[in-house]
Amino acid sequence: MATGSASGNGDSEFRRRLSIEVSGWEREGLISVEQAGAILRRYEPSTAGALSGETYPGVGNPTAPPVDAVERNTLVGRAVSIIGVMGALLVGLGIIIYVAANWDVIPVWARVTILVALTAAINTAGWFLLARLDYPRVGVAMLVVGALAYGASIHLIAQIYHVPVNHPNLTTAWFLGVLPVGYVVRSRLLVGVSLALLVLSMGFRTQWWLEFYGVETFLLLAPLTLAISAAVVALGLLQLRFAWTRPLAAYCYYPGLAIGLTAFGAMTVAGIWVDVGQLTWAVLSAEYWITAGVSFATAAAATGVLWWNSRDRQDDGPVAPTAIVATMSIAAACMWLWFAWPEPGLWWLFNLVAFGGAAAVAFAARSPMLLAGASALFLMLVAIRFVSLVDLGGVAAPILLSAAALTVGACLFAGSLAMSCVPLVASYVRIAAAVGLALAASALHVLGYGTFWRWEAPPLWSWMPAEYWMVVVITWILAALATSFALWKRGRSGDADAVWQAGAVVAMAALTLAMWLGLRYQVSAAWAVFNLALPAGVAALIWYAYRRRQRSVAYFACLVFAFSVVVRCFAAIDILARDGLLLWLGPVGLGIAALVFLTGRLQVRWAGTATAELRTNSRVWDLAGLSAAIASVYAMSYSEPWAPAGGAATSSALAFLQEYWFLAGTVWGAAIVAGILIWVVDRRQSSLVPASPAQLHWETSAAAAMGAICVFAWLGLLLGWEWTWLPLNAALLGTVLALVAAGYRWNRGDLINLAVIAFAITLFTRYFEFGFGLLGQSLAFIVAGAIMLGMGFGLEFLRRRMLRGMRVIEEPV
Amino acid sequence: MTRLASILFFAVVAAQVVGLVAFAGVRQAALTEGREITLQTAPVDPRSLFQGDYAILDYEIAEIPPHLAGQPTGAQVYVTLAECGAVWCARAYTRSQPESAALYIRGVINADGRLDFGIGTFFVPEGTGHIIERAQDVKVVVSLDDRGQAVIKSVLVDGVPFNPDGN
Repeated sequence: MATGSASGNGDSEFRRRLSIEVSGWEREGLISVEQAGAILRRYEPSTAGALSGETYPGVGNPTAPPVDAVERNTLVGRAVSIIGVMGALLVGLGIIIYVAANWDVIPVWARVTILVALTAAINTAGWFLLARLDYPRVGVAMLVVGALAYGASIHLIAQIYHVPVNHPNLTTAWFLGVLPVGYVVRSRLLVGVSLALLVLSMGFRTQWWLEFYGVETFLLLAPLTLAISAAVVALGLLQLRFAWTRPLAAYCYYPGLAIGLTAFGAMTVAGIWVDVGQLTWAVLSAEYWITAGVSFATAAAATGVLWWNSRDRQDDGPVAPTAIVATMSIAAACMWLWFAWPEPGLWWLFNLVAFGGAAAVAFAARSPMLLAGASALFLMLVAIRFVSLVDLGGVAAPILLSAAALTVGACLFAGSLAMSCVPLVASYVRIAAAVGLALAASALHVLGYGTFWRWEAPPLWSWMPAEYWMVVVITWILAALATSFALWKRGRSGDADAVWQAGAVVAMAALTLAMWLGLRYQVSAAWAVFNLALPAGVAALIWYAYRRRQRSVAYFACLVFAFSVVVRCFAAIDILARDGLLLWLGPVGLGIAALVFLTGRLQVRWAGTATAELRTNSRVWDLAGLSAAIASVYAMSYSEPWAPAGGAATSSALAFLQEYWFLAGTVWGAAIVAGILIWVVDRRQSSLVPASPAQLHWETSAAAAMGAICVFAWLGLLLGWEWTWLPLNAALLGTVLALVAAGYRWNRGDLINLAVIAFAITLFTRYFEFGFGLLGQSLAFIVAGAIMLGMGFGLEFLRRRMLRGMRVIEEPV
Repeated sequence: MTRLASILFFAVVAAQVVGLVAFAGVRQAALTEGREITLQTAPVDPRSLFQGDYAILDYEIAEIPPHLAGQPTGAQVYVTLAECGAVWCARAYTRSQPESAALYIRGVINADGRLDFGIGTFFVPEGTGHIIERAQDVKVVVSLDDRGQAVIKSVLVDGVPFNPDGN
C-alpha cells in the first residue's frame, strides 16, 4: 500500500535534492545561472499541458491526478478554486434558505418538479463545464452545488410529506447520491463532501437510536462504529489497487482509521465500563445487526478482492491491510462478547489487550502504514488515559495536562529521531516530528499563562494517582530509549544534527521537570520560564531550518509562534472585554504582518546566494505578511465597533492590561529587529545580496505604512475617536492600489492577485453587510454566489489566455 | 473524457432523479390510498434551524396503558382504533399485529415512555407556528394504510383546517 503515495513523495523529494545539487554546481561554476534555472524547470511538475487548451486530462484518464489536484500549486489556480467553492456554497445555501422560506404558495406537484429539475440541471451544467468546456475547477464547484441541491430536494420533499427531518435515512440517501458522482469525476472535494455526509448520517442514526433506546445504548454504538469503519478502511485500501481510484483512497482509509480508533479508544476508559451491566440487548433492532453484518461482509469482500487482485504479485501487499481490517473486526467482536458477559472490573484487561496489541503490531509490522496506525493507536490511548486521569488533578489540572502533552510530544519527537534511522518508516519521520513538536509547543503555550500558576488553595501533590506517574515514567523511558538509539545509530554515521535533536529532547525533559518542581514547591512565577521557552524553541527551529535549508520547518516554527501570539491575545482581551475584540487585535495583527513581511524581505537577501527553494520561500513570506496586514486593517475598518459603546469604551480597562502591551511590544520589537537586520545587511554589503535603492524604498514604505496604521489605530482606540474607521477604509483602498502598482513595477503577478482577491473579498463582505437589509437573505446568497462562480470562470479564462500568450513569446527563444 | 465516464455520470444523476420522484411518489400514494381518520393531539413547538418552523405533535392515543408499562423502549405496539365522535380513539393496545379487520396504527415506545407513530412532525410556513401553539384544540387528519402506517394529511386548528396563507 505504500506504493500508492510513493511516486508523489519520491518526485518532490527528488526535486528537493536536485535543487540542492544544482545550486552547488552553480556555486562551483560548473553551470551558469540560466542553465541552473533550465535544469530545475525541466523537472517541475508539469502544469503547462492542462493550461494550453488541450483536453483536460483528469476526466476519463485513469493515470492523471484527480481533477482538483491539477495546478494546485499556482496561487491563481487556488484563488479560482476558493472563489468557485465559495460561490457554490453561497448558491447552495441561498437555494436552501429561499425554498424553505417561500415555499408554501407553490402547489405540491410543482414543488417536486422544481426540485428534481434543479438537481438534474445543475449537475448537467457542472458536467458540461467540467468535461466539455474543460473548466475543472468551476465544474467541480458546480457539481458541489448539484450535491447540495440534491440534499435540499430530499429534505424539502420530506418536509412536504411531514417526514421528521432528523430521520437518518434522509442523510444516508444524500450520501449515497453524492458518493458515486465524486468517483465518476474523480474529485477529492466531492468525495470529501460525501464522507462528511456519511459521518452526518451516522450521527443522525446515533441520535435516532439514543432517542429510542436511552443513553446506555451509547456503549453498543462503539462496536458497530468499529465494524463500519473496518469496512470503510478495507474499501479505501482496495482503492489503492486501481489507477482510477488511487488518488481518492486516502480519503477513505484515513477517516475510517480515525473513526475506528475513536470508537476503540472510548472503550479503554474505566468510567465507560461501569454502564456495561445495564445494557438491554433485547431493544437492539434488526437494523443494528443488519448494519453490522453488512459492514463485516463488505470488509471481508474487499479484503478478498485485495488478495485476488494481488495473487500474481510477488510482494506481501495484502498482508498488512488484512491485518488492519481483521484487528478492527476482531476488536468489534470482542466488544460484543464483553457486553454479553459484562464484568465492569475487567476494564483493565481491555487496556492490556489494547496496549499489548499496539506494541506487538508496532514491533512485528513490516508495513510503514501499519506501524503508523499502531503508533497512532498507542498515542491516542496514552492521551485518553492522561485526560481521564487529569480530571483528578483539581486546580492543577491545566498544568498536569500540559505536562502530559509535553511528555507525549517529547516521546513522539524522540520517536521520529529513531524512525529516521529505520528506512522502513522514514517517510513518517516528518509527521511524527511535527505532531510531537506541536504537542510540546501547545503545552508550553498553556504553561505560559500566569492564571494557571496562581492558586487560591495550594495544589495537592497526592491528587494524582499512581497510574498517572506510571504512564509518565513509561513514556519518558520510551523517549530516552528512542533518543539513545538515534544517537548511537547516527553518531556512527557522523551526523552532527543528531546531537542537536537529542538536545531538544533533553530540553523538553528539563522543562517537564521544571514544571513538576514549580508545582511541587508552588512557584507562582514559573509561568515566565515557559513564556521564554516557547520563543526560544521557535528561534532554535528557525535556525535549524536555515542551517538545513528546510522550508517546511521554518514555516512550522512561524506558524507555532503566530498561533501562540494570536491565541494569547484573544485570551488576554477576552478576560477584560468581550466587545471590540477585533479592534484591539488589529494592531497586534499588523505587528505580526510586519514581522512576517520583513522576515521575508530579509530572506530575499539570503535567497540571492541560496537555493531556488528559499527564493520562492521568501515570496510566500511576503504574501503572508501583506495578507495579514490587509486582514488586520480590514478587521478594523467597520464603523460599528468604533461607536462609543464598542471597543473604544473598554480602552480604559485595557490600557492597564500589561499582558496585551507586553505581547504587542514583543511582536513589534521582533519586527523592528528584523528591520534593523535588513538595514545592517544592506549597509555592510556582506556576502548576502543587498537590495537596489528602489526595492528598498518599496519595502520601507510598506513596513512604515504598517507601523503608521498600527499607531493610528491605537490612538483611535485609546482616545476614543469614533471616526477612526474612515481613514482605515481609505488605507485599505490605498493598500490595494499600491499593491497593484508594485506588482506592475516589479513584474510580480502574485502581488496583483493578492490585491484583486483582497478587493473582491472586501467588496463581497461589504455587499452582505448592506445587502442583508435590502434584499431577502437567500436572494443575496444566490446572487453573490452566482457572481463568484462567474468570476471564477472569468479569472480562469483570462489566466489561460495570458498563459497562452506567454508561451507564444517564449517559444522562439 | 471517456464515453464511459459520461454514461456513468448521467446514470448517477438519473438515479438521483428517480430516487427523488420515487420518494415523493411513495409518500403521495400513502396519502391518497389510505383510510382517512382524525386523531386528537396536544402540540409542543420547538424550532428546527434547518427547515424553518415545525410543530411536534403528541397524540392522545400515545399514552401507554398499564398492562404494557414494563415493555422496553423500542418495542412495537399496535393500537386498534375505533370511531368515537369526531375523532378516533384507542380501543386496544397489543404487542402483536391484530388479526381482525379492525383499523389499527403501529407505534414504537420512545424514551419518554410514549408511543411514536412516525407522524410527530408537522411543518408549517415560517413564522406561523404560534397559530398551532395558541390553539385551544388541535386535531390531525391522517391517512392510514392497512399495515398500520400513517401519513399526515392536514391539521385542524380549532376545527378549521390549518391554512395560514388563506389559499
